Amino acid sequence: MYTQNLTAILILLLVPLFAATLLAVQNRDAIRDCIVGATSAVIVGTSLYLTWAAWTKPIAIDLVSAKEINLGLCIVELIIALAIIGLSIKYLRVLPAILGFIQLALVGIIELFYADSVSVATTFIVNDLTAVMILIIGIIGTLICVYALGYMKDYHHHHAEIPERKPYFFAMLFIFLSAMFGIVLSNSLMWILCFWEVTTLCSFLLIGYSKTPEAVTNSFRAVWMNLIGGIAFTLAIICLLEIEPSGAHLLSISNIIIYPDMTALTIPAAFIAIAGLTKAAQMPFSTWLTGAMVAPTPVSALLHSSTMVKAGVYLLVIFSPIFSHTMVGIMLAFIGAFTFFVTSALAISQSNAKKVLAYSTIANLGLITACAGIGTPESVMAAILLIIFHAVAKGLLFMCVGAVEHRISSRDIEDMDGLLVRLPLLATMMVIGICGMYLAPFGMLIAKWAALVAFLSVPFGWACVILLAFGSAFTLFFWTKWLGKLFMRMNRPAAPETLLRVSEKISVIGTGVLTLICSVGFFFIIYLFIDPYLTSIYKEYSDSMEILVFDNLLMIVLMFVILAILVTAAHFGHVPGRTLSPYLSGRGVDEYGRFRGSLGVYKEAKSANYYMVEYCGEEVLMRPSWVISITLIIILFALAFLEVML
Amino acid sequence: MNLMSAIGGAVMFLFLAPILGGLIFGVDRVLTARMQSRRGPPILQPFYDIDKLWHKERAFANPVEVIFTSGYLVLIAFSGVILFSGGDLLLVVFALALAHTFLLLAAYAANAPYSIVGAERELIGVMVAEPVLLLLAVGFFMVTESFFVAEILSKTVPAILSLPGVFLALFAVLTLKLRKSPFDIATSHHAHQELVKGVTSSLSGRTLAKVEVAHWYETIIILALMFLFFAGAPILGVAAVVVCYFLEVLMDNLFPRVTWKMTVKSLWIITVIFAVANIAVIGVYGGVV
Repeated sequence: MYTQNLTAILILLLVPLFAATLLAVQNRDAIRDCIVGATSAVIVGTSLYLTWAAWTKPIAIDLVSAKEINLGLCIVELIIALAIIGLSIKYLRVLPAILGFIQLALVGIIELFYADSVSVATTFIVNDLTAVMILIIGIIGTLICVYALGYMKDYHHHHAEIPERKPYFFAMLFIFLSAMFGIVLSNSLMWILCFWEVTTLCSFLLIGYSKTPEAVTNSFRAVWMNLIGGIAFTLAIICLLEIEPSGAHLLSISNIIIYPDMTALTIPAAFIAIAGLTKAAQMPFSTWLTGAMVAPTPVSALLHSSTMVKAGVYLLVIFSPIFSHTMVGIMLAFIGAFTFFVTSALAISQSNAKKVLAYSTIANLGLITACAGIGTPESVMAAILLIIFHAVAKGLLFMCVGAVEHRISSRDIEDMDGLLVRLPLLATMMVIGICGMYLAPFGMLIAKWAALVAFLSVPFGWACVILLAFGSAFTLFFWTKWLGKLFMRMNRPAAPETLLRVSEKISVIGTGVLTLICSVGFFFIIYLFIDPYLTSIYKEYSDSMEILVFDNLLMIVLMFVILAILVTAAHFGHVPGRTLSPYLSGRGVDEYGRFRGSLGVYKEAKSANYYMVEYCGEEVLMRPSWVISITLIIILFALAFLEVML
Repeated sequence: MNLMSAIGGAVMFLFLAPILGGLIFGVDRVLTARMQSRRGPPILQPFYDIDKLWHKERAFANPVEVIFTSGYLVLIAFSGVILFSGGDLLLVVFALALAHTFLLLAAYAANAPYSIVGAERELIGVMVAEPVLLLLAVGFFMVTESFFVAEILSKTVPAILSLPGVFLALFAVLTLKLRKSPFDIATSHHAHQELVKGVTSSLSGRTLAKVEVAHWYETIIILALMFLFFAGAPILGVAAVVVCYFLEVLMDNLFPRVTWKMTVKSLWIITVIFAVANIAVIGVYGGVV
């Protein structure tokens, strides 16, 4: 007999798969709209139900047939490895093929030598952290899929040279969602590994959607980097199985985080750290995520906000109780903080909106990694807050950039000046997204604040804080200059009357409203979800953190009130007075903001943002940061081995 | 936090800070003039200026700048209220950053190249100052174990003993915050700006008046932050703040042609060397006096 909760879990895992099958076999837009819409509604509803159920009482479910499913998942894993090897051979890529073979061999070893012990008693666990992840995947993920409906129609209109493979595309999106649900719901590391590999394969196939040489190259880069993560993950499992007397017992996440002898887990923790770093695109593995932007924008939105990279940091966050007891955690925190610092600087040098967003994603993931590495209750709280706020704001920003790109035929920030006049709705949403990413009193800033305070409570945390302080300054710079561009109104013609597609409108507005709700309601998120989770994981944790004292909450509320009044005034207020033409140092100016040169020639007055390429360019920063981050990883392993030896 | 003293501090700040700020700027102009062998305006000149600006014709490059400059003024005052009511230092820093965003947006929205270049350079200034202010809050936390101004003030041993490097970095930032140097982003009252008053070049009348008053508020906030280093020794604190301000005026007259690139480089070198080293030393050895 299936209980309601199990039914809900199975719906989340299987309905997307079923929808993917339907989407793959038919190619009519109207039917696709219906399938995607209906599936999304089911997923959102089920996610809400499961969250509510888990919130009232944490769910732990044992499946009788877990053994058979184990076998099935193992076959899936073999198929994935073979598919990657096959495609690598087809496109003559050596590195992915070799890594694919290694992965295949490792999975084979597990199946041959440890087949009896890999079964885990409790199959599914839904606690408050899982609930948060389910909401992110279920709501943001499906909104992005809905958005893709409208987006892909325009995409093929703009890129006529790319063969249309929409059935394949939408099927992949939904398989992706299913795999993500699998990662967050499963309690067994073996299962997580399997879903992990599914996301690797899906992202690989989605990045290569357009099949242009650049897309193929970037998709193979994504796959080999993520295969390294997969191999590290498999090695971690093998190491755990080798631990006597109860290796198999440790494959369950609920058991491993309460294991009394944490130092014994150092080596597996190091491998898990590598797995998380690759998936979360941390230095030196960052290039796969920046390369992934060749894919259609919904893919980027999905990879960056609710899936893929979030799987990486989710893994790190659930392992953070272990990191907090080992030297691995400190090094992991340094790698994360360093990534935040460097990629924030790199974002300054970019004018391509998607690339700015990509670097900002990597930077924020770095912060989450740093919090997970430190692993105190306060830092885990900051990490979860960062995951939530980043998912909504970044999903929103990617969708906005994608929609804007189709309206103005450019994704360059320099071309977005005066967007608030030209595309008011999209630009307003973009402003909300940008503010949500870095300004007080919105979500990400609160989360960064929590991170900063959490860092200070541990030894060596001050080093992370210094990196955070400078990184935040860079963040402030690149977001504000983008924000400024949107408010400029220089000699730009009004946009031709373009209609935003309904699906895009729903998703963009929906995510925009969510961003605001999360920012305003951050206290309730902490109180309702994060506090119970931390209490269940950390024995010593009792109270909410220091920043949440009444004084600060009052000030934050006041800040919201001030902003609300200003926005209302800007919207409804009318200011008496004369509007003058722009100041151009006394030159004659016409109504378009052009100034009159000698001989009566009109010249357009142009201004561009600073990009500081000589300091922050990829050529300048990439190589040194690879060296530094690889050194940090080597130290991480050295420390891990030393800790076990001594 | 004591409610009465918090409200008292906030109200005192809201009313007295503009008066004090205006006076400081008046003295500043006289002092600068004397250093340049001029006579200078009356000490109350900044107030006359505001009065005159307030009664000018209302004209805008973009009407939305009224909202932005109001936001700037209100939020700067709000940061001061947090500070003077004994609130969280980090929140003060964040509120200041939000306030500056409004000023920058006013400049960006003005549609004029001068104004936009001014905004970009001002933004660089904000970026340079941000880590110093954050490290300042962090430094105070490491020394006093609290981010709250009320608790920092209740300490008897001045924090300057543990945080001299951070104090020097803040002194360097004051140069930037007074908007005297660098001259190519300057909005000060000297006649030697490259960018015809940079970020405010497209503002006029009341919008400009609001930015000026906000500037007074901000100066008081920075000086109060300096004073915070001498909590427990108030007389010394006031003396130190006065000396620092005098040195700023002197520096401004000694180096009138510093550009923003030089400023960024020199300021960040100072920050990295002094503030970061200071934080690192406290972090390693534990700095509680």
